[in-house]
Amino acid sequence: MIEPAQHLPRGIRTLALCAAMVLVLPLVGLASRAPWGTLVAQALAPEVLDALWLSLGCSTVATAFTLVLGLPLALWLAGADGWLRTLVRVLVTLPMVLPPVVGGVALLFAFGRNGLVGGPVAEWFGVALPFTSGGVVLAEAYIALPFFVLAAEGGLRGMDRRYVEAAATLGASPWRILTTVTLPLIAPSLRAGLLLAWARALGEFGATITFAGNLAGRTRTMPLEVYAALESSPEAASVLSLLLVLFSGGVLFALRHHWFPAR
Amino acid sequence: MSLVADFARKLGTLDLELAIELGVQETVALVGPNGAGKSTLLRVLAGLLAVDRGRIELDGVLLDGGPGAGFVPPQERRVGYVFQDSLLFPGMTALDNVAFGPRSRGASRSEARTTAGHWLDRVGLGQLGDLRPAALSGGQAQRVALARALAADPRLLLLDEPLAAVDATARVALRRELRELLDTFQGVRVVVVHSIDDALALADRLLVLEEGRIVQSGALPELVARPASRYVADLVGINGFRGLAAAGVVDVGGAELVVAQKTDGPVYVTFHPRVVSVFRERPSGSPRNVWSAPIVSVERALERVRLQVGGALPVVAEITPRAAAELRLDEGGDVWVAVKATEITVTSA
Repeated sequence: MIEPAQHLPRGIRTLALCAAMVLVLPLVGLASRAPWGTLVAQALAPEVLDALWLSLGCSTVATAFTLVLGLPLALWLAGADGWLRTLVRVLVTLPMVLPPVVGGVALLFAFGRNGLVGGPVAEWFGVALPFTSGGVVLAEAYIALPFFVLAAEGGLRGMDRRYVEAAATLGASPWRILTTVTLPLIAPSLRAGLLLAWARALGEFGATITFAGNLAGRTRTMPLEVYAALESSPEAASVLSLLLVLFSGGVLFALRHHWFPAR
Repeated sequence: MSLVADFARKLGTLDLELAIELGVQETVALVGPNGAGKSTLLRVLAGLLAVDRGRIELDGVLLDGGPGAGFVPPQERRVGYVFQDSLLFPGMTALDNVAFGPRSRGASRSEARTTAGHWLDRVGLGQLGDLRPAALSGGQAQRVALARALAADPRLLLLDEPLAAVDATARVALRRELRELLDTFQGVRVVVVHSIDDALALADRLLVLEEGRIVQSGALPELVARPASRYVADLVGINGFRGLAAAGVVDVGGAELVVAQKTDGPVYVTFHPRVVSVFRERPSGSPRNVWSAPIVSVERALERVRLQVGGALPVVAEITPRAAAELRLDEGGDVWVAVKATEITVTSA
């Protein structure tokens, strides 16, 4: 058996190396500017830790949201096809391809203080999402939801439907089939979807700053902190960036068997 | 207790339409070519598909009466369905798989486990309850699947090619066990099989399905004596052709056979492979039907060689290995084939 890489033309390898450089050089640049001597001290500065905890908290709550709301949506989408499902699938995928700032603007018009839903809610209950941590969670959930839904739907579509039929003939109710048969079977896809959604929420910038603003301690998550730090101290920005690289790289590492199965 | 199914259901290119009545005193083997609708029929009976029109009744209770008329979902039908690749839930142990049915029907965890243990013992796997499906062999997995179906206390047992995924050595033992379990089961039982051996071993009656229609139903001797189609003739291993008889000659579409019976009109002619004689040179003498044909295949089975020839009248001949060697059949080419008129059975179609 020939290894796939062995019969590649020479030019292809050179181009592949170039591609790898495009991806690797920014990381090298980031590391080159980091103040390695004071790295730990800077990473433990109060405003950094505030942003880190806010980021972790908001992205985790947003991920929980995507699970609770995204799973029913994925279950429905994985059923038979129809024009309505096609339309919904396009709408679900849209936040993945839109510039996040557009998502933030759209969220403002819907859930802002004068928004379609946000206006009446603010008037009746005196609650408004913009400039609160809740707003951060909503913006992150909006951006992260499609990643989870598509992963879960992929798992459902790849599943052998006859397991569900076997369970039905054994007398299991739809709820029992879902919880004891379907969900365990697609657990790897759910896990991957959750990690992906969480990583995406953690890195969310555009929709968050547009919809929730940039208030230290309340809505200033790590990516926003990087942006703010870049103005005053590029070194601090590189420390924060390295932290984010660490977290996101960790997620990819945790998922390596899911996306790159051993040959 | 009995099952009455009289319905029509379209699915893709398949147009299934049939009327059958199955009793509890018999095991029915469902046979037919691929795509004939065997699995679709089982799925309709199980409630995994609804009928387009018609009705399905079990013990006088309506299970499906057509669109909007009393469709009972599979959960409430009390059917046991065994798939050809067993479909044990991979995350559960063998015991939990078998306990799944009783649990679903409201038994407590310990009750369900007791029932499951009993059924695992029945299929001879009481010791393997703690294993996951991945650790079981094909034959063991199929036994667990059978125990799982029976533990749910079904009234109707549907087995879709239960022996297909089992290797040859385990097959014979599983078949014998399956027969014993089927015989003690108090309810209607239908088993889809692919070979006549399996049908003979498991069932009392055969139901032949072709292109969505029942073409024949009966015990094996009836099918051998009077196969209703080319498929049935092939299945039971005899030569059979549809043709038009006139004055002792049957036109079977491009070829003629001289027969002894004086039946006129559309007929079915059959003759056993062992009455077909094979020669390298044109034979002289009495056989009325002699023709030359190319060798298609030569199969050896124990003390017999089955030779298949092509041409206008493709037939199977059964000869001794010694005769096959003398005829140098392995070299291929053309042979002369002869069938005595008196050996051909003619029945009105």
